[in-house]
Amino acid sequence: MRIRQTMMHLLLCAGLVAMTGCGLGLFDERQGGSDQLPTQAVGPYGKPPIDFDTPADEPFVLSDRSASLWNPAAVWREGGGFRIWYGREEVDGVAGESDIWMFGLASITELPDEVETPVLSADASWEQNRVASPSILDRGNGHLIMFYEGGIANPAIGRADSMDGGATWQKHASNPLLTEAFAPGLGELEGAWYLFYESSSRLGVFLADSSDGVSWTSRPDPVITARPQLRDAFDNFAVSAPFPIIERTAGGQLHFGLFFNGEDVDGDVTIGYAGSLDGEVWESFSTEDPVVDAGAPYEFGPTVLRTPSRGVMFFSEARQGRQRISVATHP
Amino acid sequence: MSCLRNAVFAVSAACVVFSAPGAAIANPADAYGFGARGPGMASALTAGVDDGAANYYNPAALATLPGLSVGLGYQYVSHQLDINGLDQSISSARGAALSFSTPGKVLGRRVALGGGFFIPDNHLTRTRTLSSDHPRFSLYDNRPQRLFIASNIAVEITKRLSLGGGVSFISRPKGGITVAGRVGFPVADDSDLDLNIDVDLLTIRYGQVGALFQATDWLKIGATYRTGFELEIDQAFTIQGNVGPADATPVIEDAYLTLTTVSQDHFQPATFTVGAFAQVTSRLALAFDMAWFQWSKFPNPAAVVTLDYDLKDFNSLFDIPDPPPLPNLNYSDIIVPRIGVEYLAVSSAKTDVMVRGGYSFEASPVPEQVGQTNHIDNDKHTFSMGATYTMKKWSSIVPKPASFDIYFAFTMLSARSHRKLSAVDPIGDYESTGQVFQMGAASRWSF
Repeated sequence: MRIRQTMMHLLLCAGLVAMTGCGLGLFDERQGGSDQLPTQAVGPYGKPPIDFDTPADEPFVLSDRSASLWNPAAVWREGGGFRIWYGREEVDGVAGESDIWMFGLASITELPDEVETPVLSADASWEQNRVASPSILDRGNGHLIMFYEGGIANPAIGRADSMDGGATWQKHASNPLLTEAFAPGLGELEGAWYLFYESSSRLGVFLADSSDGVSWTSRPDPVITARPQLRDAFDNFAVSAPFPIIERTAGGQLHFGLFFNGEDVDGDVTIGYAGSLDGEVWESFSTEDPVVDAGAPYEFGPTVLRTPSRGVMFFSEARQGRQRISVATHP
Repeated sequence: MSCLRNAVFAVSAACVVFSAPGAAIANPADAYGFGARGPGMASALTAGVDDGAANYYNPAALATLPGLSVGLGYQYVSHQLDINGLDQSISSARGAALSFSTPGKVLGRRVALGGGFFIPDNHLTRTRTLSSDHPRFSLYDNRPQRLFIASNIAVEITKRLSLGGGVSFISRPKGGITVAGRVGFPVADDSDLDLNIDVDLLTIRYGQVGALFQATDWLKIGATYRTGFELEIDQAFTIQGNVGPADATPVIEDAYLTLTTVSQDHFQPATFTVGAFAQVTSRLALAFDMAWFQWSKFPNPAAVVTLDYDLKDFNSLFDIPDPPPLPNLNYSDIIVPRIGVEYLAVSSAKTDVMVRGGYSFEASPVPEQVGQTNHIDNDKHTFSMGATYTMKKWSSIVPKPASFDIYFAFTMLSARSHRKLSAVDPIGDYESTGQVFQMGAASRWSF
């Protein structure tokens, strides 16, 4: 009986000590607030400021003294970081002639850890010594599909496939797949392929549809055009360089997001965003403003990678007369 | 012993009378229950409460308690609430739950005074104002992070009917900072300014009333009503005086600039609850509650910022538009059913063991977020269980039964999708889901 009573006392004391421990905050943990808030990553995007503690030359992630680097296309790299393809045009070369190169990056504050390498050159007659503006679709298991522009006088869009994660590429036998077109932006969802592009004969950003990624049918009217009616809009003169994100949302809706270049009547070029729930009716993110902090002289050719809580945008930006690959992040 | 009881009653009366101003009531108990027996039965205790937790569940029950009773416990709630599969790091809610009840007699009728306290050790209170579009689990934002104090009085009207109620207050800050003097221009460092801070803690009244009716020997019926309130934070910053260099004619004379922010810090919906407690057999009891919450009065908690200024001849240089109106959130009133069961598993001359369980369903009062706001909430299914070990005569110091309770509860937030009408919504569509884990322990002492 006495043992039982002692045990009960001990049990009670242990309970009281535990409660007191809780009350003293011995089990403190992280506080509320979150860095994992959802975002559609439409913007605004901000360029990272110069940080002398990092090896990177913010906001640039790649520059080359002898070449201009245009219109990047990025995919997530297995194991972390990014792989980025871009058009490279020699400063001392023939104007317009370009190849497509690739580099890898562990983070936007690091220098490239995969050195710049040429991966696609203009060796077909229709390409007229120019391949540029890659748009990459990652199909998984190392299968990448690249749509690119070729040709100078008669631009067109071709396709190349890689089965080894982008190390080597095989151009499609039916190239070019779309003529009088350039600046491709490729998307695919549930077996439907979408190709946004610029036309060499009409102004605006156009859309072509396909069920196999080879045979394309262009829609007659542009999906977005310049907005001269808005005097202060960033895109009141021209639109170009589309980059789409096409997805089925967490709410089950079909969603088209489109980053693109807008140019105003003063010649300033920057990046904007439009969205659509059906691919037919498009809505601008902001009435007049771009989604990137504009900086002289311009930002060009966006590509965006997203996580559920942030976005990373790569684009080309000029400094000292040459285009470089630059980055901006959201939020 | 009788002297001791009278003394405690007198001290309690003083506490009830004098402790109310400045006390905060609002409300982790609404979200998670109070004590350990109630949460173990999904809080279906409006008619069945039999200890100091009556200060929350039904103050009328205080008049039916046989003697002085004290409860001491600890409650811990952990949230894992996700948006698109990502944990939103909602703070835990935890703290000590204390309660007491002191019966006495006035004019031959039983009268009881009581108090209930939930004292968080994480945030005594938390004020956080977010913009309208900032995603947040709106019913788990500031609501669980509160000091809870209830003080009540109950009277036995007849042998079968008791009434009880209490009035408490919550404080809200109102005031501002004024900087007066001369603002140096063009050299700001040349300023000569005095700082005045004037902040008041104003009180908002909050009340609850309850009734308990012993319908038969085995059936009790109870009802409670709690008033709702909205707690605002009202703050201002003013700078006033001349602008210009020292010892010279001011560039602007007697100017001022006032920035005012008004935001809702906390909202408590009016609540009406009816319940029944049936002692089906000597060992088995069933409890049922139905609670109505007036969430439709929930205002948009985002801050409204206004700017007022008089810069004399320079007024024309500024054109500051009025802030846009906050969107209506369109919350709905909800009815929450709760059911509990209790079973006396072991009963001997010296010990009892009681086990219990419960279930409640709380539909979300928050509509699907299709516009610019992102107030997230889901339907909630709560399953609970608990046990009580009672020692009837364990010590000469405590001759009356002492009980030790534990409980566990699990709330499942059903997955819910939010589909935006705009294709360029910055947040986009998302799916919310989550779980809430609760546990606690308590001891109850009778004297």
